[in-house]
Amino acid sequence: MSDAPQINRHTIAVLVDNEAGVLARVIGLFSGRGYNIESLTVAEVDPKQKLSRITVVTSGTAMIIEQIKAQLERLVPVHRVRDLTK
Amino acid sequence: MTQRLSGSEIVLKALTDQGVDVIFGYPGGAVLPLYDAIFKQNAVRHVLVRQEGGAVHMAEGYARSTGKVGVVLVTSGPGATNTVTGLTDALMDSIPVVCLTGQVPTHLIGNDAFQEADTTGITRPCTKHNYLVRDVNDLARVMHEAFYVARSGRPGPVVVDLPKDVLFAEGGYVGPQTLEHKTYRPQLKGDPRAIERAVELIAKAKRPLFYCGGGLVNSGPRAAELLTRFVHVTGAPITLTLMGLGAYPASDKQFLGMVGMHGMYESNMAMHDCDVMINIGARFDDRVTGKLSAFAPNSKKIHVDIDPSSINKNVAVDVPVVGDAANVLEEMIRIWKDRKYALDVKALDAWWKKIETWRARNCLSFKDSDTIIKPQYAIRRLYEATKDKDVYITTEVGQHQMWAAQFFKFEKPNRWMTSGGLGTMGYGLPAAIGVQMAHPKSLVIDVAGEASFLMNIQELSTAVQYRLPIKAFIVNNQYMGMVRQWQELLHGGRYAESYTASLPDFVKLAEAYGLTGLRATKPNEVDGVIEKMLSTPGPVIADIVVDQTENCFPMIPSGAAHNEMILGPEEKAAQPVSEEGMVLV
Repeated sequence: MSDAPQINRHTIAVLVDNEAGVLARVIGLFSGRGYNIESLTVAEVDPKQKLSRITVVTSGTAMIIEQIKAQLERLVPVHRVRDLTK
Repeated sequence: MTQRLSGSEIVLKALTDQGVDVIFGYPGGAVLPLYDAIFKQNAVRHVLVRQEGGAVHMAEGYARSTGKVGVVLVTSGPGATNTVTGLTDALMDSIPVVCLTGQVPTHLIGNDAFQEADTTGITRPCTKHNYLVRDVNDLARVMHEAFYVARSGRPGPVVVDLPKDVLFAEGGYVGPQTLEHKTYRPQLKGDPRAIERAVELIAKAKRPLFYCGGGLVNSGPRAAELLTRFVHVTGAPITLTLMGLGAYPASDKQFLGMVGMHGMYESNMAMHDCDVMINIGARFDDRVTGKLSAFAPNSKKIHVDIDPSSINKNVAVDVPVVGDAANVLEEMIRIWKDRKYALDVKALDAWWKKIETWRARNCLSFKDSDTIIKPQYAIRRLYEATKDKDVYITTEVGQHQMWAAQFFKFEKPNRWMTSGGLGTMGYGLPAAIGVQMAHPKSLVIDVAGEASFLMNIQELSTAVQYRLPIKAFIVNNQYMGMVRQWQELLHGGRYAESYTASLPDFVKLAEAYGLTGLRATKPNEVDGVIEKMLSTPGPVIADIVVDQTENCFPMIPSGAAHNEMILGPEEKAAQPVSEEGMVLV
């Protein structure tokens, strides 16, 4: 038995301002900090307020997932980060 | 009706409205309209640097010593790419900087135009945020937003990329007061229940330790005052990180000195043995924690930080509090007093007795010499000669930086400017220029190593142009001293490329640039050179030729725990550096 912390898959939804470069910010955060992206979808969800939702499936230990969410929330054009897997 | 202004005028007006009095920059094709606007006004002073990399460190020095935002202006392409190191440095050390970069006109973006670079793409990972302004009507709002983002929450660098056609175009101006950011709202007040839990935990501690960092300096002088008050009412010991030096008066008996790889023995031992750690505004950096699995193994940890992503990043903590250090400390003191908390006197007494035995080891002692200048001696004498003056210290990166951190005692925040997170050689000279611009009457000293100093040597010309009386104190051992030290300790003394076989004559170099050059080669010359350096008006380089083989102690070998510190050259590490330790930086 290994006592390594368990790795879980999480789906995280990120509501962002639909502005130039916002997707690059989000995926750059993942690659720059060595987090994995298993799948990614992006779509505009509110054309009036120019909001998009980026949905990322990622995996990591509880500490890493918490860190990913905190890092995403730190991005200036991010409105809200939701963990859909909870 | 709003006023119609050109893009350049909007930038200048926004700078003035943000209270900017000085910017550090270098002109070029893409920013010519902005320089034309600068030419026509007197409110904002422009400091012409010699390379754009220097401009960012100057802005950092300015910001770190004043608490204000430092401002940089550079052209497109190479001008912008040269700022990348400084921006990364500011990001790592949470320094508020706004960097305005020129850009090719919008219709040429993406065409590989002359001096075009994808500035927002390149600087995205090394800024807190960045903007490319495509419409002049967004310009005023973006400018104010950039300052807001740079200075609020956890401060950091912000780039505003300005295409040349936007600088020429006319648009409306809005003032800073109209700004309300739709997404970016840093949490300043801590959760009251979390603060309560933190204070309850502190009150029950037998071996408490405050561990505080740069967040206190960024929070402002009030945070440092409140910290001092809280540490005093509890009677607990406190240690500071490299970035936190000055946030607590170093002369106070509850201060144990700096913590970390080259921190004080007593600080690191206390860190290892404490039962409640109160981290305020520090981020459990690897220079502080050493081996994570052996980091403060029997402690409960409280972590106060304005940045939620700092919490539970490296070290899992028991009581996290997200908020501004000053606000949280104020609450902590109030609760402590209201509930009439006091630490267990007997336990605290025993804890202090233990700390005193560590202190008695006198970990900064070194074997002095009559014939050769020991670097520690030179830096200690510099401290003693300047301690009663209105002094600001900047450093480069390496052994001299650690010795300066060990031997200088800072009583107030904002007096110590050093590149902590990124470890940028070449930081100290331009930073000193930025500090001196902000504090023209104060004494500003760059404690330097000769290798670092050469990395931004061109800025001597800037210091002379603006008659900035900075003093560069070069601890010259002809080696990249810290590289040499690690090669000695980890690579069998094979000193690959860490020796500079051909150095300039720093005295002649000083004269060539129009500064005064001084040199000491023997211990009995050190005091005289320091005195001469301090009494000479205008900028000075003091070349202090020191022992080439001296190592910086105490030291936690990489991959080791706090209680495995090496105190001096006679002492070998308990075990040879582990394989995991070897791969660490």
